[in-house]
Amino acid sequence: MRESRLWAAHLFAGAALVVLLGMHMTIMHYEAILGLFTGAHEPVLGFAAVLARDRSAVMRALYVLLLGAALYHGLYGVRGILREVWHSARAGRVIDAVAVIVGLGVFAYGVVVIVLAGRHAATM
Amino acid sequence: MSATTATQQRVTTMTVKVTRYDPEASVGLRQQTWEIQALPGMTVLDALFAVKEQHDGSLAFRCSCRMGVCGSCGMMINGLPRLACNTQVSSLGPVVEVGPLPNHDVIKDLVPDLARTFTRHQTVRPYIIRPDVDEVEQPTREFAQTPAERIAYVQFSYCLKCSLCLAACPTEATAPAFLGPQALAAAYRYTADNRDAGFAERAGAVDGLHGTFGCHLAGACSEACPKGVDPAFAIQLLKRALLFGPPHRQPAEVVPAVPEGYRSPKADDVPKAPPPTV
Amino acid sequence: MATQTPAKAPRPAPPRVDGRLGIRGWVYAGRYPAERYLYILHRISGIGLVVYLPIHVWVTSRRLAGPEVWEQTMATLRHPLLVVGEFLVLAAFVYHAFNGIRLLFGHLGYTLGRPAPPVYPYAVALHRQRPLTVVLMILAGVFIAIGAWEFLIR
Repeated sequence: MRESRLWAAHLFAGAALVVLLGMHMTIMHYEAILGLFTGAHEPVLGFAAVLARDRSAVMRALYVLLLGAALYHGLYGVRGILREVWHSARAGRVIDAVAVIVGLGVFAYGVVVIVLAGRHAATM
Repeated sequence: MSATTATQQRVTTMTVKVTRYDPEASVGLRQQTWEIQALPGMTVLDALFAVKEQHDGSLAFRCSCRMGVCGSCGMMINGLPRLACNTQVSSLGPVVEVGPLPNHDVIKDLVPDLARTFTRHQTVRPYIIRPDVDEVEQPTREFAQTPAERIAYVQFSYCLKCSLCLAACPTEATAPAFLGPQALAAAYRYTADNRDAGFAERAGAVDGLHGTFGCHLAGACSEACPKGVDPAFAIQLLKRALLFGPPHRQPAEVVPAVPEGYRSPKADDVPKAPPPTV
Repeated sequence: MATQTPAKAPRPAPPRVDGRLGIRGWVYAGRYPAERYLYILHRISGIGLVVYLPIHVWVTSRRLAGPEVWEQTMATLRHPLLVVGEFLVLAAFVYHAFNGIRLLFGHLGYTLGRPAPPVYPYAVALHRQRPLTVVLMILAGVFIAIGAWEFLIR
């Protein structure tokens, strides 16, 4: 595949992450500030709050999108850095293959966790 | 006589510290320091000549034009890659530290090997590519270009191939496969030229991880460039061209030159030259 | 004259010094401009976030084991060292995101102005982006400071 396509996807994933991961980080780490606007004061990492998020299909879909975008953007970046250090064609193929395998592996694991968490939350 | 006294009064000594390499001696890089007289208007190149004439005739460096247009005397001067002939010692303080260009093989002392710079420059096809080859080889008419169309590429055409940008580039520091800011800027120079039709061909050479996308916009190359070529800018515009297509879709038209016997309607308004005075 | 200079064997190429800076060339920005330093931070924060991501996916998957295991995991994460680590992840993301916005525009050739005739003193396109850079870095600083305050009051 042409590098410009992969790189454009990297840029697009980065832009998506500014929004998705921005939301995620705001919910998780700007509790006090966010509480001023929403009036919520339940601990965001309490099990009840986690269950409530898992129950929402929109939240689960956003988690899958976030995971996919983060893995692609991050692994594309790391692959570029590694290929600048080991720059032979052979090393390039190995690094590309490892990046794809790690990316797909973590993505599959993450999706299974999100799906199972949704089912657990529905039963509780 | 009074002029000489005035010059002598402004004379101060300065330290020239050079990182040297002797391929015959097999001792690797070593530092050597000399004290010389700093004269008004002295460039780093002048200082190196002073060292060579007064102290050590074996000091090797490359230079030609001594006025910043040939790009031969690129070297590391007080922490930045610069042209020795373009750098006044008065702007550097009492100690001038000179070393060979980083990211290049050192042949001797301050002489870097620029061969890879030139071969990579060639790989991006740095020339006008058009379907009408005959017209390019044996022109009968002109390729139409407006002043605005010329501005789109002219700053990128001022490259001296001095290799300073390659010495500054962090990607270049580890990846020899990277095309480098010089070649990529040259690729955009021809991409932006409205007479050119070779974008598809050139894209094949630059669309790669070790091509255009090895640039991460650290901007060091543009800071180092002595001619305002701004390679970092050219590479970002090249990225845009690779994603969204070149700035022009059709190469410039071939327009007829001025017909024989043509006289401008304003020609009569031009005043006659005054009679010769000598 | 019958004397002929005998053909000399080509002299072996003398040894050279490889001047390539290596990784040192990435992490040492010396007297180069601010963007060169932002590049280093962007790389370091990016690598940090990528390393954190799979660990984070695994840690949050602990909720499948039930509320007790989850609360126990969260209690482990309240160790001061891990809290500092978590704050660093937040700071890395905030910086990487704001600098990323700058790079997104820059990489596509926006906010850099237009090519101009090369007249001394020469213009550098990245300098035309500096106002945006300053605003984004101030925003990143503000968000990191608020994040630090949130971590302190927790």
